[in-house]
Amino acid sequence: MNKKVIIVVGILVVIIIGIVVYLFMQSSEDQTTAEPQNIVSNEAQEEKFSVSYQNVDITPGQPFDADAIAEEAEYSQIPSCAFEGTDNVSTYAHVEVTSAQINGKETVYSVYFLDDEVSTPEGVKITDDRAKVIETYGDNYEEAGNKITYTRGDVQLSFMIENDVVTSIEYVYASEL
Amino acid sequence: MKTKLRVITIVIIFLLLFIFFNRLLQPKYMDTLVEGSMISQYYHEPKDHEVVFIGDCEVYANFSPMVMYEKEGIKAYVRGSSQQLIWQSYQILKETLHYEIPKIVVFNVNSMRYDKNSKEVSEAYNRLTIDNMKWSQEKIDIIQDSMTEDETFLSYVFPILRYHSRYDELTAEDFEYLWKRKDNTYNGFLINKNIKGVTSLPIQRRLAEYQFSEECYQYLDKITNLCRENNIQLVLIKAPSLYPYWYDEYDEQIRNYANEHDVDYYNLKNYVDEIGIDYSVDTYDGGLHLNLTGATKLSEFFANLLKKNYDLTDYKGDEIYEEKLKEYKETIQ
Repeated sequence: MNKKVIIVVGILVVIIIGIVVYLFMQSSEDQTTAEPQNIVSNEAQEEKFSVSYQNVDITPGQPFDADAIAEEAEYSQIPSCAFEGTDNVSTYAHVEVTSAQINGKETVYSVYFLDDEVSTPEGVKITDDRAKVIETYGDNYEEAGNKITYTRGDVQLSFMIENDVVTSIEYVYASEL
Repeated sequence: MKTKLRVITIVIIFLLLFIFFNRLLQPKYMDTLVEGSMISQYYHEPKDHEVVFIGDCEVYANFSPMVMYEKEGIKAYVRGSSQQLIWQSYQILKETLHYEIPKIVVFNVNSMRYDKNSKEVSEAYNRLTIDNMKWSQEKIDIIQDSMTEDETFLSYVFPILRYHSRYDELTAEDFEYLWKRKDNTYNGFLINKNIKGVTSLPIQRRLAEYQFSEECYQYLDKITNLCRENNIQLVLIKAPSLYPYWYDEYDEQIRNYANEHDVDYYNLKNYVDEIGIDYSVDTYDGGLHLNLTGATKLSEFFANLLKKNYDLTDYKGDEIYEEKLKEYKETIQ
């Protein structure tokens, strides 16, 4: 074969190999980034936040069984602009539960307290002061604006604190949907 | 001579295969996820619009240029896309100005609430806006401004790098629209006739931060300056969606900005009664977007507002637009 043909074929082979290596590296990266997330999630499972309403577990990340809650909820759906899938929002007298289909199961995504009639299992409620939050959950939190957030496992617990008073409490599932 | 021919043949075959698979594996956005086709439809439209809308789904779902033409003879185009973020709106506007200089640019300010760290910023939405843009400096800039951590610039240049795993998801759509395109909108308006009225909405939650980010203000400044440099009247709007909530604190910031920069701002939610929107029938998804009847009411109202307050030409009787209007009416029957 002529030298020029060999060079051209060589260049094309190098390009193809380059693309294959790039794609291979991409999928390897995906795998390596996926593993630690699982480990973190498993390790932290023991000290995860949990929350219940009317004795029904509504912890973010856990399956949501609306029928198990005796109280009737106001129900709304929040669709995405373009993609399939919706958030289902159930508003009860004292909490609002947002759930979505995750891995084929209706799963709690967030729990938002609506008033001071409910408290966290550790005893903090809306209208408590900042000191009570810190005393109860410690000082290992992230602060952004007037919101402080504690993370345990794949659940985040946030308190909005305005003028030293807790004005909102929310649990959110922190894992990628 | 023979050698040269071999070289050329090999190169051509390689390039053709590369182009073919690059094209085949890329989503077509023609029958499914049509929101991804809207940005490119503009390129083959006549470029004589006096009003151009930029923004997110709140423009392409809520404003019908055909209704605005029928009502007031306005030639308008909606360059909207799903979750179009403000840094994208700026580049889309810049790109538009290469093709035409409208009299009015209408920007929906909903995206001011999202900065580059927002969880709403995602590759999936980036792709809907960017994938089908023509190559230009604006496309390069919009990619660089929009890329999330996991994205690469190269994957926008060679979509096969991103979509190589789609080979087992290919459908008839991928082959049918391999080389051709179809229009899914009327001047950027995406028709939705479904009805899903508002029954209840989630509680309006308190936010940790209501202040728009410095970054978003910088892009709003860029949009304002670009309009000013080109002698274009900028009109800021907030479409009358009920959700996600447009907080009073947001509204106040935009109102202040408009006053300080001498631009007009209309929060159209304040005009709902005048417009005649009935949220029990005029929305297709429980209050986020208007359906055809809602968008028709809003477009008639807004066309009238623009005609009364700005110097716009009455193009009624325009041959191309009359044809388009006829087709539009047949579609919405």
